This record gives sequence, structure tokens and C-alpha cells, in this order.
Amino acid sequence: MNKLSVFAVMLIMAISTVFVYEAYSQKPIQGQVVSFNSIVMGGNGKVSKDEAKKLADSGNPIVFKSGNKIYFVYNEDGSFAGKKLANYASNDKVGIVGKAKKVNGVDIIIATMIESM
Amino acid sequence: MLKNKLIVLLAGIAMSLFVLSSCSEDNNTNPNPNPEPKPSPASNLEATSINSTTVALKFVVSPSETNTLFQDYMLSWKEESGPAVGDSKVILKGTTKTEVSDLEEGKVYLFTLVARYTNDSVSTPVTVLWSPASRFVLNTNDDDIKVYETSSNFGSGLQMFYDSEGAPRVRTVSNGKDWDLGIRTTDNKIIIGSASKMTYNFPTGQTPDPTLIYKDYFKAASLDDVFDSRAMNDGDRDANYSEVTFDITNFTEATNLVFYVRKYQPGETRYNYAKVMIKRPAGGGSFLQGTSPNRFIQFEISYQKTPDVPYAKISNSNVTN
Repeated sequence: MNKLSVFAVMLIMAISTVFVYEAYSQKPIQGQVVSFNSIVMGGNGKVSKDEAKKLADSGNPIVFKSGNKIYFVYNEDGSFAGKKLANYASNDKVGIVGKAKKVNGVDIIIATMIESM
Repeated sequence: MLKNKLIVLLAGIAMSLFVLSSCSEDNNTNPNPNPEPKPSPASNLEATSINSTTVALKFVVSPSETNTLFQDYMLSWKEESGPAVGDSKVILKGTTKTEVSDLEEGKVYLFTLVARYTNDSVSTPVTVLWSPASRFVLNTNDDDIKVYETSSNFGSGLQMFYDSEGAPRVRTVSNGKDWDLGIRTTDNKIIIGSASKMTYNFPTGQTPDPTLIYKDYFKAASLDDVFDSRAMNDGDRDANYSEVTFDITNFTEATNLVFYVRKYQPGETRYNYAKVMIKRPAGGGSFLQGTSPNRFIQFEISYQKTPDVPYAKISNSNVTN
């Protein structure tokens, strides 16, 4: 493999990394705020705002469900956004604007905006 | 001769008695030539709601403050239709603003202010009626109250108060029935107004109900500065609410804007009143903040949860605004 081929492969990898693993859109990802524990235990994850806040305060993960995907949501400063997300738990539909990516098989959103819809 | 002297003496006594008697009557009916000096009242007493338990009042000080006899002011308040006895507090000379706390939202209070001299004389009272109202700077999600531009997927409609969660919330077109106010940002314009006047394609059954806005808006740095001495529906004001929109595109003054709004809550036939402020970002700039396509306008709301309580009624001593 010559140098040009190596460069081309690296370029393709870089591009695919950006587009596959770090998709950013101003269009919100839509879904619901759910309790990860409830999902793991076979429930639908739906919790009220007060319940979600209590769970988040006691260290239980509040996550974001969009379609069949469960996202762990982080703030731009790298902190876990479970407590912030808990405030939106009573909404039927929530939108998150940010960067979605997969880290070691786990779906992550680095959120720049969270809002009810 | 003796008889004549006796007549003159009796006549003199009679005249003296008459004069004394007349003097006594004069003392009862004529004003005291040296009455106790009395202070002039304060003027322009106005009020505003700070939150659901606190009302702020401001006034112009009494011109008698320059008199050496001037002592202070006494502010008293009581429920308009409640017990005769209320509460009171002393306000120091030179003060023009004060706050009264521990009130109850929805109850109308009569505030009475008098100026006092050290000789115990007081001015004629000035009064204003007011009620505290809830103040919202956060929505149901404990976040700033933001309403988004038309091109955003987030909501362009505002529900001033969502009873189930006790706060305002932003709504999308699919929830148009919940809209009280809306914004529309097309053709480089910023339009704000009654949701029912917004030209959005609401789904069937989701057309907003009428929200009525007073014809004038007010410029203010803060809702705390929007004092008034009149009820929001007082006199000619009552006839000047309508479904209306305002084009604020070219409003460039570096202030916030306040609107008087009223609307029936679902199933009700009595108005809830609100003062709604649209806020510029800290440091000034356009009302539209953030990054396209999710730019937003931020709101702050003073909302009276009790229907038919338009905060205040006209004072008996204030000039109308």
C-alpha cells in the first residue's frame, strides 16, 4: 500500500468518524426522559418530574429514550446531565440539540439545548 | 333718680351678660386662630406585585417633609373586604418605596398612607388597592421561559400558566390549544401577540382560544418597575383589550417591554390577569437571542392565579396615569 492509499484510508476513517459517531444537528433529537433503572428492570422508564429528580439526586441515572435507543446525556462541560434531564421528565416529548456519538457501544448525546416539545 | 340709676345698672348687667354669652358662642363656632399644624399628604401612591406574598408601593414624598415638625409616614393595610383591623408599619422620612410581605395572593388589600407630625397630627390619607400575584422567571422545567422562532422545531407558543405544574410552559403548534401568546419570526420581522392572531397551521381542534392584550405596551427595565394605581381593567382600560399582535422588529430602545394580558382559563368565564415582559439579553441587543434556527425570546410573567383580580383599583387620591 503506497502512501497515497494510506492517506486515503485515513481520510475515509476520519470522515466516517465525524459523520457516524459525531453527528451534530440543530434539529432536535426527539424522545422522552426515562429512568434507566426502570428500563433495565423491564419497565417503560416513565417517571414524573419529582420522581426523576429524587432518582437523580440519589445517583440513579436519568437517560433519554429516542425510538429504540437509550442515550446517556452529557453537558458540554463533560458532566452527566441526568439531573438537568430530570426536570423535563413530565413532558410527553422532549427535544435535545447536540452532538450524538457512540462511545464503546454506548449512545451519548453532548447536549447544547434541552427543551420540551 | 335712684330708680333711673337702677335701670341703667340693670341694663349694663344685661348687656354684659349678652356680650359674654355672645363671646361664648363665638368660641364654639369660629375656627381656632392657632390650629395644630397638619402635614400635607404624600402623593401618587402606586403599587406592584413582587410575588405571591409581597406588594411594593412607591409614592412622592409629602411637601411637608421640609417642616421641622415632620416625623414620618404610617402605612397601614387590611383586606378590602376582610376584618376591620389589619397591620401597619412606619416609613422613614425621605423614603419613596417600601414593600409589604406576608400577604395572600388573590386577596385585595387596601393600603393607606398618612404623613405624621411630631405634634400627633396626621395628613389626609392616600390609598391604593392591590393584590400580590405570582412571579415566574422559570418554566415548568425549571428553566428560563423561552419561546422559539418560527423556523425552530421547538415551540413558538407560550402558555402563561399551566395549572397542573404551576408554571408557564412553551408549546408547539401541535399543542395550539394551550397557546396564550405566540411569536412569529418570518420575513425578517418579529411579531408577538395573541396566539389566536398568529398565522400558524394549527391541527384540527388545536386552534388557540382568544387571549386579550391591552392596546398599549410599557417600557421597563424590570417588572418590579411597572407600578400602577389603577386596576388593569379600570375605566376605559376595560374596553381596550383585544386579540392583537405587535411588530417589535424596529423597537430598538434598550428596554424590556411589558404587556397587560387577560384570558379565561379553560372552562372559566372570568379573566385571569397577567403582566408579561419580554426581555432583552443582558447587555442589550435584539429580543431574539441564541443561534438560528433555535433563536428565542425570553419572558418573565406576573400572573394573578385568582380570576377577576386585576391587581388594583383606582386610588381615591391619585391622578390617573
